[in-house]
Amino acid sequence: MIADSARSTVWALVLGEVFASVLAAARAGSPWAFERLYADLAGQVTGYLRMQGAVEPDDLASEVFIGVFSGLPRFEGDEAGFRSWVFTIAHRRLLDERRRLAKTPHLTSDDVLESMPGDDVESDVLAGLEEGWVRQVCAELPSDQRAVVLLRVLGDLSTEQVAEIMGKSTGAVKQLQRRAITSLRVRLTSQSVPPASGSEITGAR
Amino acid sequence: MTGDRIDDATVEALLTGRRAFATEPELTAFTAALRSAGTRPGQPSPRLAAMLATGVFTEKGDLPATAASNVHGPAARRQVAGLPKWRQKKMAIETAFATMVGKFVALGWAAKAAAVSTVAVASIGGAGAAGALPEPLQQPFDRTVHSVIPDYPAGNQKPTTPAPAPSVSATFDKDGEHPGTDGRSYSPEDAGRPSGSPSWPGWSGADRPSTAPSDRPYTQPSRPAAGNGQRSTQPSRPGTAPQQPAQQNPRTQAPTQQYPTQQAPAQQYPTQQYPTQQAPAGQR
Repeated sequence: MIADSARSTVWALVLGEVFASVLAAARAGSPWAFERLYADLAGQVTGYLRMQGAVEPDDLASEVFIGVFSGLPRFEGDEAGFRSWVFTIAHRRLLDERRRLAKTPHLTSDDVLESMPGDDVESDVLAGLEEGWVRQVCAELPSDQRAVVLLRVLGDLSTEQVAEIMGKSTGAVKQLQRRAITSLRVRLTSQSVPPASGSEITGAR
Repeated sequence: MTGDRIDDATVEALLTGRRAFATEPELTAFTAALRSAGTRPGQPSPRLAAMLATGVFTEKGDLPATAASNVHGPAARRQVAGLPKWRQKKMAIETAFATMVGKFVALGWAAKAAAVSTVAVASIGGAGAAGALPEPLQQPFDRTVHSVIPDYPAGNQKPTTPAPAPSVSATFDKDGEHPGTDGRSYSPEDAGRPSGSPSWPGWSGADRPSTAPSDRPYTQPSRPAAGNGQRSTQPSRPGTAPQQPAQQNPRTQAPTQQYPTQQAPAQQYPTQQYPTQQAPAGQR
């Protein structure tokens, strides 16, 4: 059952052969093309920013897509390259936000965690959402490991693409993802319920 | 299996979700939950929503209408609706024209023929009434119309409206402005300008309309009789009435001055009424 669920949520290149025409239409300024590109990637980009602990993930994702659409004339590549390019912009915007917040602290890490759903088990159960638990687990990972896992899972990016986005070598990315999976396995097998509080998003401040 | 080292193939399979592992149910469930968390899009900001609706993006990610924020003046008054007024007018004109063309195209053949005929008849009728048709057409047009309207004059016999003679009246309205002979208004602020310099845009001093002979002194045109804000009803005749008694401005009490027409044209109107340079400061 888990296997079926996992298979059903694997990302795929949703546009496929029509990507070129959609991209050309978006460059020409067709609203439907913008809507199509946004609908295909908005959830993953917003999820990536949310899991990374962005203060305002929706607003930041909007800024990302504004930058994406305004930079379409400069983009060259296929759908996989487009996905990688979008997540590159998202990652850079996230780093910019962290630098900005480091200079002018907006919220403490405790404030961020308190604002997250999944702060306690009861709210998780009542809400029926597993997002809080996932976010809590991701928050326990170091920043680099979390970024690699999120980019690989949410962005459906290859090791090489993640390495290019993060400015690291492919070997370093493989090492990070291996450590991340190992940490997750230890964390998930030792504690079946998410911690109530006390976790901190490393690197977010 | 906990505590064992995970090989790269297993890590790759877990991260890509290509294969589920029965031996790693927690990790498989986590990655599946992580993917499902990425299916919920956020709320686009109003700016992005507007851009998605219009489909118009620029290099900086702004709508072209934001260029109107660079115009002079308060931005709150000039760019309330998001588009500059010139763009709104242009869009309205284009929309109206497109609507007309669309309606015309949607008409049937009979309606199109009727519309074209109506426009042609109206055009020819208008040109014939104005006497602008060519002679071979104008004469039959006049005969036809004359048979219907006996009093209708022929195209080449229509009275022409005489062009109004240029007036050099120097009447002042109640605001103290002079309408001028060329339709422009000359305000009292012109009074403070130095003598001999152009007192309004386009004035060169040589094209000053004047009916006075060059060898006769020029008399200042009439002004309000008592300075009570009433418009003068008697236009003056510049250069032809040297005996006309000069009237003084009650505000300044400055005497009326006479200038030769060709010598100091720039001071004719304002200087005498508001002699900024000549009257004592206490009389202002």
